[in-house]
Amino acid sequence: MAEDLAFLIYRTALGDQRAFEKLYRETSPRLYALAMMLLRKRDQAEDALQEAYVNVWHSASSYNADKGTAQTWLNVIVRHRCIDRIRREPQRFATLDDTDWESFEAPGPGPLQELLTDADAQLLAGCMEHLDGKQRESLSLAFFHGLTHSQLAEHLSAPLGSVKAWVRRGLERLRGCLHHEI
Amino acid sequence: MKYDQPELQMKLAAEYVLGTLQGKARTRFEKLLPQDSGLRARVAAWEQRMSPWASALKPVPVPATVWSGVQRRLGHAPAEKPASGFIWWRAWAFGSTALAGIIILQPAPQPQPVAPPVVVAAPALTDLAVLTDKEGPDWIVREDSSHQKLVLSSLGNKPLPAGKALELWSIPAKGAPMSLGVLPVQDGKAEIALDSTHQSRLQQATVLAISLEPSGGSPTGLPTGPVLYTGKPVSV
Repeated sequence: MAEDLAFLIYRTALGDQRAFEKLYRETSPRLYALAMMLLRKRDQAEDALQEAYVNVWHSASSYNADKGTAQTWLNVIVRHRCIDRIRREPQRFATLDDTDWESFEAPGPGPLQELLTDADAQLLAGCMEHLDGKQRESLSLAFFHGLTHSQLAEHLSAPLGSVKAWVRRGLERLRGCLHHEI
Repeated sequence: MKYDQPELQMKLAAEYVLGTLQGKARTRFEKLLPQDSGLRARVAAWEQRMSPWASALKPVPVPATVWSGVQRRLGHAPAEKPASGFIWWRAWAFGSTALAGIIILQPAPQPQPVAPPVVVAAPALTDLAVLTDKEGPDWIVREDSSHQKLVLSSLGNKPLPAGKALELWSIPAKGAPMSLGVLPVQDGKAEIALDSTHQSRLQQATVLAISLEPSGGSPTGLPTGPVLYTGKPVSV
């Protein structure tokens, strides 16, 4: 599967529109879920997804399989598009309870492992379980909902300094748990 | 701020990927990235670390308008919709021997690199690698299903200096490059027969490369001229 996506990206870099469409069909439902999770509005998520795939078409030749998996490359493009949008609209967080959001589900605070088949994903989920509740919640809200430090502080009713420390320590523990060098 | 401290770099890269690095700090960080390969490696490591999380989401059906919007923005013609279209897509898979012989580089209706139409006769070929130079993808390397030959075609079909030849190399994970042969290029295409030595060399390749050599090939058995194209083989 991963090899297939990389291959489709290489084909896309060659200007192959059918490979591009195939890439879109295979990857867009998951990326749509990611955009929806971050932006919470269907129209916004759809726009961001469109921008992301336009970007994929133009930058496919910059994909380098040595640097990471194809899925990671796509995830990053979509997250960047969404985070850009979020940062342009600082008030957006006020709309947390949008109805659009209700039909989508984030992975809950429970054991993520059950949801995941991929070894890397299981490892990450396992490491997340080892974080303190506040650390896990802060990272999760930042990652999936694009919350900034101050929005986290507001949402968790905690001082800014505490929130920054939760994020920092959470990331440090995550890195330690995943046994990565850099 | 000193950006060369490992701990600070780690923290900034992590918060950049998480999204909590904001405002001026984010802008400054993004300006540093192109100049600092160490920082880029840290960012890539965090992206790889957090990516499984993004992929853990349950897929959601995407409204058809999104794809038509992408096509419109790119100026691509909307795909024709034959009744068999969907089935065709499902059947089309990398490595599908039934369809591997069909080359699907379609000329697009707008200025962009247009591949010359390539007609490949049976037996089916499997895509092995796309070799690129600094201008982008150029050579497509395919292997026939019986592993008897490599078929290469160039999108750029760039002219070769007089008295020079292109030579294909298998670069293993450890050790020196091994020649797969001089490319007898004609009209941007070349075929190389694979004997058992070449097959074994090909299997060890972590990278395929094409170098510029004197006509007749490298006199030393190692690349002597500039390496013009490289690419990773796609494992099938």
